[in-house]
Amino acid sequence: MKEIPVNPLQEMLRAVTRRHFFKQAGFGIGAAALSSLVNRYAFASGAGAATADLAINAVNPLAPRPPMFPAKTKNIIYLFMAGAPSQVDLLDYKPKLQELDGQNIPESLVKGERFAFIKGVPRLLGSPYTFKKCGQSGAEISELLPELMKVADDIAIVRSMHTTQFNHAPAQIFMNTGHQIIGRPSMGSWLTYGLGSESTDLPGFVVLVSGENQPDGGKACWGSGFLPTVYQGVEFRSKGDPVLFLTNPEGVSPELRRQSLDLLKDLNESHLKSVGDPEIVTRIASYEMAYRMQTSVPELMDISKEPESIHKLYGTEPGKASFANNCLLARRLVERGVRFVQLFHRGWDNHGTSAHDDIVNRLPKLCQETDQAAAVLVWDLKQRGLLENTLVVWGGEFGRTPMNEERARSKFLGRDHHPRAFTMWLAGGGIKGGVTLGQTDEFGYNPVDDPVEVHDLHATILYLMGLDHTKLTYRFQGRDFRLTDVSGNVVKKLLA
Amino acid sequence: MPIVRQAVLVPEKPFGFEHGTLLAIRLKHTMKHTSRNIGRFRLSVTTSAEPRYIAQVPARLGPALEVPAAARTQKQKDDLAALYRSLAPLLQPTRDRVAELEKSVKGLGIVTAMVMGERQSFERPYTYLRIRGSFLSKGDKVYAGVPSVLYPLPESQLPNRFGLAYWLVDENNPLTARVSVNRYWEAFFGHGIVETSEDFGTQGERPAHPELLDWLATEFMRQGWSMKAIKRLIVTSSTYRQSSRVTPELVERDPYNRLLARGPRFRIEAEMVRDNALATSGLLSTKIGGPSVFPYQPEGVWDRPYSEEKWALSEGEDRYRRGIYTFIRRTSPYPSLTTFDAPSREFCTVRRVRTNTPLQALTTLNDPVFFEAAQALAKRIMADAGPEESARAVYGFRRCVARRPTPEELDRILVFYRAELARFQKDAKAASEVVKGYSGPSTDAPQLAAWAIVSNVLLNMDETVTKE
Repeated sequence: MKEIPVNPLQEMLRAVTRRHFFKQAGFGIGAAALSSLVNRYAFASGAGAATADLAINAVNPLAPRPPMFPAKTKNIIYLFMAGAPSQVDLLDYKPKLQELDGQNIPESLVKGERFAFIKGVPRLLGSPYTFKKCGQSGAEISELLPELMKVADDIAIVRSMHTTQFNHAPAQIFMNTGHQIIGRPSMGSWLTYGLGSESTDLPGFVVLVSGENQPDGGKACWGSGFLPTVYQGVEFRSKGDPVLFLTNPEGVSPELRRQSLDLLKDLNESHLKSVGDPEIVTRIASYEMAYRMQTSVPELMDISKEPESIHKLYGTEPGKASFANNCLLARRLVERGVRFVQLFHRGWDNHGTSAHDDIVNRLPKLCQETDQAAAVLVWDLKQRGLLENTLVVWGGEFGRTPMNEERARSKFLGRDHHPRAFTMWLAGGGIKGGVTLGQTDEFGYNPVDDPVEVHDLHATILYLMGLDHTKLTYRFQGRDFRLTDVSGNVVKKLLA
Repeated sequence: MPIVRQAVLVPEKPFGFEHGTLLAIRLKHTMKHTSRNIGRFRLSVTTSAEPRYIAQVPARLGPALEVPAAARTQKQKDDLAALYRSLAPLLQPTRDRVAELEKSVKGLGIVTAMVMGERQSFERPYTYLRIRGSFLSKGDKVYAGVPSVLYPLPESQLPNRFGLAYWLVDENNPLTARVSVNRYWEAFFGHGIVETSEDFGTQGERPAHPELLDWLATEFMRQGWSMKAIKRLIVTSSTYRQSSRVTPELVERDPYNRLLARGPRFRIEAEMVRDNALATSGLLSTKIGGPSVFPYQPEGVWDRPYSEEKWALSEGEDRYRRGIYTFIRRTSPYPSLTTFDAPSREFCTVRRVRTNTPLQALTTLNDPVFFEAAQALAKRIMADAGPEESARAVYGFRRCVARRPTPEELDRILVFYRAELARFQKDAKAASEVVKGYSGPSTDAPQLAAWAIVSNVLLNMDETVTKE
């Protein structure tokens, strides 16, 4: 058997640095010294010099760790448009498609193609919407996104995205974990594993869900896969407890909780003295952080104290579950040092089987629900000076066909799933604003210039965070896994 | 599967001709599905007046009937007796009773499981290599076999499931016993002798104690693969019975306890965290088997597109079953288990990573399942431990960690208890909320509430959820 070099980060995680704890804190530590130690959840200096660059101390595996090289951004807000928005109606302007509306698509394009629902040779469907050249960059944006137009020079539009999956669940799982089958760690898990989190009283990876329902890919979209569960996304729910079991049981006041946690701490410290296991220190600290979360999370979720002007801009209403509220919460989360905030808004699956899922009635409604808040988020981050340290990503799991689906001769206009080409936009955090990257053919069917695959996007996002996607690995079942599997190239043209 | 059916055609009136009769029978196969047509049929003709009775005797038993009773073989006798039992009018009531019993057995809803079987075939089972894992690119045809780096399949065995079973437990095959004892060791010590218990290959870790591993493996085989015996051997060893106490010197020399100079100490697994709280408080149902159950889970955890399925809370004792019986859906696993590092079943996971997070603290403090356990423990404390406060505190403490509290610990608990009792005596509303569902005398409510809060703390102690 040959010696395998062990991933140093993983080695640290495996059993945390107990030795350093003992060196630093001394053994048989008095209760007073101990409680001052655990007062701050992260005592980052606890790690010794030998492993300082990858220090994960005994108490907090989420303590911030330096990136592999200087990062362009510290935080990410990922606006995941679950259901897959139509690129040709929003961000990929195709005059030729409008001109040939209603004609059969050239057979050469669709020969041998498999669609989710389309049968036979489908007919082209020109966008019923007009596009405008916006800002100094002249980026072409649909009339459905009037607010996005206002930040056109801050965003980079990628029109040449493509994926391998054409059903929602696997495509969402692929977009989030780099693999179409559930079980791999999600992007947010990789990032918090690699970088930790700067927040001491909130999780490092927070998920907010709005829209019709949960994304098709389920909780695997923010799962930690084979990484320790400490790196999984924590869903802040808009109904009930924002974090599961955050609220004390009925009859247990905050004061009573504090007193019972004091008793718990005393009992745990007493046992620490007799068995000496530093894991007990971790346990004490995790209860203290839980207690802090009981205050910090409701405080975070309560947007009622935001000024009226902000509510107007975002379109937020305190107490309501909406994408707008989640955008505002996302800003509040990155302000508090949360590393990765991911929003899911489900509803973009506009097949055109009825007025509830077509591009004439439903699509404008979805844009109304999301355009303003998403654009204002970029604006608001910028005016607060947060945009340079925050990467904002917007996009779905695949695109939609330039052809009308006409399922069962439906009279409603709609589009089928289309993995070959779709559009996303990115802003802030090291992204060059005003760029439109990539070209699709005259119908918007295939990328012709600068194609960007999902792993390229992942590699770019990790790069912006100061991580080399080929080196951020975790050994599992005998293999070093990574978010980008065996591919991925940083898209240099997007970088500022 | 062919189904044996028969038809008896009786003419309305007898017919026939003096000089012999020629019967022409024409079968018309009109079924569209050719596989459902009649095949391999037999035609018989009789002059008997009651052909239906003859038809009741299957053709294969015909020869037996022609042999004199005394000359029949045992098989023939048994077959005919079975036939008689199925036909004799005298036995009709017995047959009815048997049918009734069989029906009631079906009504018990005994769960059956599908078990993989080997397909009967004249050809060796085969499959194809898929180049770079793509199901679209077919490579060479391959047949079942055993890894060539290991012990070869014994000469006497065929390369099928039966042969594989022999190979697995052949005394020349070291892996099965090593891997097994290593897993038992891991369960007791928190890590295996080979730390990567899922991987004994080139990518796995080397064993910390190779001789010990081999000795345990050979002992396991020598004792007839008795799991009970090998586990007894492990838990009665002086290594296992060591104290978990660590000293700075020990930590300095062996931070992960790979050399086993101290006893194991680690947080119990997700399902056990639940089972432990329920068992300590007396709520645990020990029912074995049956379909999965739906214990309490917060609203909205199951909310998926294109799915109307709802989490239907189980009734009665099924709410308090062991964690392993909890229904798991991979896209929305049971949160209180995943928080404690239970895998979401996407991969076969031999070894779980242990983490320690604030979400775990929130779960054991506030999840209604765990708070109910605290309430139940409080009731037991009041019912079983006599009227003395300190005896009650000792009893609750012992139920959680199986040792008596030190005088200082006991003191600290009692100070807390008395303060909370005073609180609940002043605040009847809070007391009644904490003991919700309690129907005893109302004068006991403040005490019960205070003990419930104490129990909530005791059930959350590091020592309670830690094996040491």
